[in-house]
Amino acid sequence: MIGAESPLLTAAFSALADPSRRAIVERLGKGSATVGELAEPLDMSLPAVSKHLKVLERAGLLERRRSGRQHVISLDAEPMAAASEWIENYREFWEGSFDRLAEYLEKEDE
Amino acid sequence: MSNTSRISEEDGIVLEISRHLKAPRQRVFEAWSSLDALKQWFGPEGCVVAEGNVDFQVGGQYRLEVETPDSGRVAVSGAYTEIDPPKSIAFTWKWEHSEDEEMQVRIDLVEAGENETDLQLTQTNFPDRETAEHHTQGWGGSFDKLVPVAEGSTK
Repeated sequence: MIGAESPLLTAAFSALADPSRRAIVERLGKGSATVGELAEPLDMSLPAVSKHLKVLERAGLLERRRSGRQHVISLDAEPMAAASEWIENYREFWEGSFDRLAEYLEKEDE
Repeated sequence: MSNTSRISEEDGIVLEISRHLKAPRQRVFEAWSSLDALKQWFGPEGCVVAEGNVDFQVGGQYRLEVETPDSGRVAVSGAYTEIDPPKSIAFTWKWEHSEDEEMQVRIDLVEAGENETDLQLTQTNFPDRETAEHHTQGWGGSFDKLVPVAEGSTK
């Protein structure tokens, strides 16, 4: 319930802080895509998309495979799941503490 | 009660948790201000503050050793960076066994009618709240929105 492995998490949080990269991740959530397929609906240039993909890749959020001359990009959700678990752990910690705080304050009242 | 988590620019995580408490603000404030009081409630059900020390003043340190059902005994420690009775308390936060970076926790207490108080917790890894707020502008939604995306893609 407490603590977590950090460097990958920090990288994932950082990568996801950018709205363009979140748009890419949301798009990839619907299925894998080529760089071109990502660029068009998001109205980004190919180099811009490539730059964002590199950041997401460093954060461990993407997988790339070659299909002929193209790269097909898909989402690796593990870091996001870890990030979400991290937040959930803290949420549970505090919510649980505040349940007890409420009880303590009521008890003290009597 | 609105509980949200956000990710902000530059490595930031912002976790916000609110709780409405049926007690006057001064009493809620005092629940944070001594080891004896913290021992009564700190940690979720099943956890017990076994040992600790609390030097409740700006610049003072605290350390709480918590006996947990699933992680054994773990210690959290930090220093108080702001104390404004009975309105707010801010402190640094680090689980000693964890590789997580040091976090900042801020508690704001707002009077909500007679003998009732809204407690707002903000946890972030930014040095102060102003910076955190400045940097969260870019995050348009809650982190939770991305969770279904994450789960969907693993199936």
